[in-house]
Amino acid sequence: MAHFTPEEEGARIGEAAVFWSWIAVLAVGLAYMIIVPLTGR
Amino acid sequence: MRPLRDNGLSLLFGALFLVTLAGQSIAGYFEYSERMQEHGQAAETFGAFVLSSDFVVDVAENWQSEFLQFFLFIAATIWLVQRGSPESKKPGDEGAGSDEEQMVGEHAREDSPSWARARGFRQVVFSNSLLLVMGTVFVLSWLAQSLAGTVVNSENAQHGQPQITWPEYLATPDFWSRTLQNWQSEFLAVGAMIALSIYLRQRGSSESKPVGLPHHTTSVESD
Repeated sequence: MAHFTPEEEGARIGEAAVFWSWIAVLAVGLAYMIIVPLTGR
Repeated sequence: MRPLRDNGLSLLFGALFLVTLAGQSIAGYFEYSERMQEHGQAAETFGAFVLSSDFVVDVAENWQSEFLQFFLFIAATIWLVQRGSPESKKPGDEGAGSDEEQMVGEHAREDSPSWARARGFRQVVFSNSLLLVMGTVFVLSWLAQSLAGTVVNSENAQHGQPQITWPEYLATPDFWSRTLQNWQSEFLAVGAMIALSIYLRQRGSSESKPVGLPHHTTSVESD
């Protein structure tokens, strides 16, 4: 297992936060764009 | 602030996305309201417009073309090269690369992602995960465009014309006009980026070769 300094660990958390935020934007956006027309609005 | 500096690129584009999406919704609402007035129909609220297929179809047609662009670019750069372009591997490097080059399986490093060290299905999925996600977003947003377009055209068809079904909408000029007008501009921009970066430079950008690198040099890392 690789070991990280507290500074490296903080940077890794930042990377993960960015990655999952973008995944969330894509997931929410796609769900919204598919659900709205399916409800006939 | 270290976190802001480390993640500035994605934060900038995330902010630009949110601001321009808000701008699109406001401009789209005013344009939609004017159209309703011209046809003597009652105005809708802003919230109702944002939750309507009229807005969704415009958003989705741009999403699908952007993700198609990156999907094709990622896929094409596996097998095709452009000599001299920093967007390309160098001639002779075409293909998916050996396990040693890609640091997978027994060639994985101690700090490689665990799915790179894994074998079989997990390694195949992880090895193609960027292409899989970009392709999925493209397909789903193109599906959303077609579904929203069907609703919009069904509403427009209320003036004495029959309702349109989803398969029927897929064969309409409206669907293909919305689709192809976005595709052509994406392909033009990608092609221009690949070709122009052979001879042109942007000092300091990761999308450019270093200013003094010869024109014939294709990719800095692989040379």
